[in-house]
Amino acid sequence: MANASIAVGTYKGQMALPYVAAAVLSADTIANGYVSVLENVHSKAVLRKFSGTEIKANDDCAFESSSESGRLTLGEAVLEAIALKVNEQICNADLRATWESQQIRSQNAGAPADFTTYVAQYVASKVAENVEYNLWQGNFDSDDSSLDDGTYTSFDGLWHHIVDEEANLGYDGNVANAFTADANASTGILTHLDALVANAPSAVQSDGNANIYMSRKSLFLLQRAMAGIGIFQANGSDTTGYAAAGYSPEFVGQARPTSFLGFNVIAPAGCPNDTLMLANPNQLYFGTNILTDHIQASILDLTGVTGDDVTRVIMQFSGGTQIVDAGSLAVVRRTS
Amino acid sequence: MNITERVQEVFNRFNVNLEVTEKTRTEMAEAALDNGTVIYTDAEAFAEGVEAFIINDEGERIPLPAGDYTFADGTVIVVGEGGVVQSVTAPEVEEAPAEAPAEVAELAEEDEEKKKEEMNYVTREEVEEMVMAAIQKYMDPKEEEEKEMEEEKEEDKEKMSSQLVEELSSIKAELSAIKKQAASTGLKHKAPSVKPEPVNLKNLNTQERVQAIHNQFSK
Repeated sequence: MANASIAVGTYKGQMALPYVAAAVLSADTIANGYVSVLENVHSKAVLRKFSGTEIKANDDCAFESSSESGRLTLGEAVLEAIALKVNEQICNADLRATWESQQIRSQNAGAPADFTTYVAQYVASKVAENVEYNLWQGNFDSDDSSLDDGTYTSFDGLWHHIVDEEANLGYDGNVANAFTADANASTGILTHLDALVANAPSAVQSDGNANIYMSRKSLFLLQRAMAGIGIFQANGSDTTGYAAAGYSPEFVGQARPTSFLGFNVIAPAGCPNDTLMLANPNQLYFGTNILTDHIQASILDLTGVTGDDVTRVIMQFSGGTQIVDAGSLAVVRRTS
Repeated sequence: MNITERVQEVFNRFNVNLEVTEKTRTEMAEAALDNGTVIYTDAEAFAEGVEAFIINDEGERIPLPAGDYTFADGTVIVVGEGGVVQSVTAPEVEEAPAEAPAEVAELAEEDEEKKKEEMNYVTREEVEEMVMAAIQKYMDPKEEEEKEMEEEKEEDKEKMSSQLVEELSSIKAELSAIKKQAASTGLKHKAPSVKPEPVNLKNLNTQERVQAIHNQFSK
């Protein structure tokens, strides 16, 4: 089948929105609303936070300055959106066959009718995955909680900011070694979760909207622990702890755990391994400028330009993360 | 205050002085026929050669037509051309008792007085009636005005009712014409358009989300 003649297109502002929005908003965390999202951040956004003890009763007509104890004080956290760009070159031959098969078989009703849009959507899905991982672990290494050896370096993720504010965290449980699906006091996932909930600030413990964020691997370990599969006896005589519990059929081959001690368990795709977080989604922010005019998308089919059977996809947008109040977070992370 | 006093008060207000006088015709002789008609003559009595006539309401003398006429007392006169009496035949006189001539004289005097009264053009009662009418007119003008207003209202009511009747009849005519018209086709039922359900991104994989968001923002 002869190749179709594809026109070159460059889109800016509102015209680029379908492509850029699809690339950013398709991220697992953003699409499911696991964190709060600001879609019109030009460069920076100020996140107000309230700190203090209580609001004093209004029993007189006097105005008391904020310097007095008991007054409500304000703090702020600045969310900075970093300018990002996507430069991808796709071999048309690699995708054309897949696209044509979908068109012929009508396997996917949402597949675009033209190959150029299909390529753009393919690149957008890859960009969405990259946004997802950077959102959580951008410039963060989960092996030791360092900030300079991270796999994803497009922009600082939420765990990067958590480590930056480690001195102000509500609870910072540092553990050594990776999580395991047993009752080990230093590595067991159940042990860590119990410590996370037990040591969280009382305001977080009583927050009905607080969630436990963990990676999908950690969720897998949790399911194993709940099912009793991961309980490996050190030796045949070890009958302590969960080792004597045996298998729990409801967690074997069935749905994964969705809650722990009353808190919803959420496993975003980009959450780093060996980390646990107990927080309200309104403490975690992702900002982008997709609703502004400062976005751009270009789809260049170079078949008729240079002769290369490739399509280049170019996107420009901004993205960034920030936590509002470290004191409202309880975390368990691996530090070595 | 009786009517006489009210009348006198009105007279005093408008300086009206009325006098009732009785005029009698002493020069003419008159007689009543058996049918009650009164005939007259310039002579002292009805005799041969005198003219007999009657007086109409306008006071005009009309000569009697030729013929025989019988008086109430039985006297018969024969009238020729021009109302001239040709003969007078007195009735049979019967012997009356001694008191009869006195009674006859009294009756004659009474008849004469009656005749005089009947000969008056305007009687006292008639004057009183006219005065009362004038009094009513000037004493209570409001009643007149109210009567006139009521009459006008009644006339207006009659006009309005006639107008309403005309309008009602025209409305009925229009209604009957409308009823005779063919029914309209009426409203056409339009099936409600199917609203696209919002896409739940939570149940989609990344590729499907990209397509859904791209399609949403491409609209």
